[in-house]
Amino acid sequence: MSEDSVERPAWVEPFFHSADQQRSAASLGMWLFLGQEILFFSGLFMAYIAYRWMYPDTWLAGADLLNKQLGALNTVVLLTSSLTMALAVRATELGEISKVIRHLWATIGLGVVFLVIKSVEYSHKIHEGMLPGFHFSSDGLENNGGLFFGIYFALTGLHALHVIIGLGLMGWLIARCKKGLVNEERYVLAENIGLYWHLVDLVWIFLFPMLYLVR
Amino acid sequence: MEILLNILVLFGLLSVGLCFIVLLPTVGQVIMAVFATVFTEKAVSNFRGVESGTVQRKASVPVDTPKPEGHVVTPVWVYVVTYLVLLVLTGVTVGVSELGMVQRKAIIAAVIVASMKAGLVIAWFMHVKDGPRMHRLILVTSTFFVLIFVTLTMADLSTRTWGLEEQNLPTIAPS
Repeated sequence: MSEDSVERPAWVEPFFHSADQQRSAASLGMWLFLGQEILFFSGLFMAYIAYRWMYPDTWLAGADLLNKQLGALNTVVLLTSSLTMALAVRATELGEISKVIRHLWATIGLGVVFLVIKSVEYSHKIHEGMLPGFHFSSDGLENNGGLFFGIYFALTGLHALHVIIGLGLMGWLIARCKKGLVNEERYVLAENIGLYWHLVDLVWIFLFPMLYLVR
Repeated sequence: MEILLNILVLFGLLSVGLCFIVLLPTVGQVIMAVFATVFTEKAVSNFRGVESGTVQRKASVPVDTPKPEGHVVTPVWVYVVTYLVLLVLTGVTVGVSELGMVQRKAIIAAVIVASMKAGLVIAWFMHVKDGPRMHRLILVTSTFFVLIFVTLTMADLSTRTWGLEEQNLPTIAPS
């Protein structure tokens, strides 16, 4: 089969044979990145497991100090944002760009709500002196309370950083939608950003019970 | 002079030792990977009745033709149902934590429910269920390596007894 008989839109890079090839390469790359992200987060989860094993009492006391209601609320917010993101990706595949932009704004709004709730929690914790560091005061905690809150802040902080990056990516996607660079042929960027957002959701699905609930 | 020479020899020995410690596992891993690949290829070829080391292509399909991807757009209700099930499972996690189970049971219950939620998100929201097989492979591989990471670390931590008594640390976790 000759090169010319395959339809090549202008946006397909010269080193790809077809639009399909470019799309599957892009989503394969995204999945490789996601696999790396899982391993990246597993380091902190491992620290959580190991120290929980070593200091079970600290973990019991620590989980009691976290606000379970706010954690559950944040879970619901993040799950809802995952739904709107999935709907945005679906609308991209259908080429309904105004709908995509609407769903993306909804996702961004929910992401911001998540961050606001998280910052309320953070400011409360820091006010109570639970931020590990010079002003750490371990009232109500057994020995090594700093370990629990160190891991709490590292895990949730890293997760929040991912949320912030995700919000930036969605803003970029909206800008590209408005420029007409996203359509039913060029949906893979939306799909990849959706994958990233679902991964952020996945991490929180494990974080929430491990930090807030299990005692 | 003699001291200098000694230092030099020591330095040399140290660097050679370091090289071995750093390089050996890496080289070993590479050799293992190569062997594993070759043996798997041979086994698979044998299983499929194909001569090893050959790539078979179906003659009827020209190699250059892009495969029709068959990108199916998932209906909205699938997403909504997945979302509702996820909400229910979130309620279950919170509810289970209120039951006041013993630590170990509570952890197992929480991990099971979280894995179910993760499975739903991965299968439906991230389209692994109807997506290319390669995505599944990447997911399974990284999960497998996380399991190796956790298992080996915990195998070490939970069986070591030395050095912990003097620091007043528990050698095994209380149930």
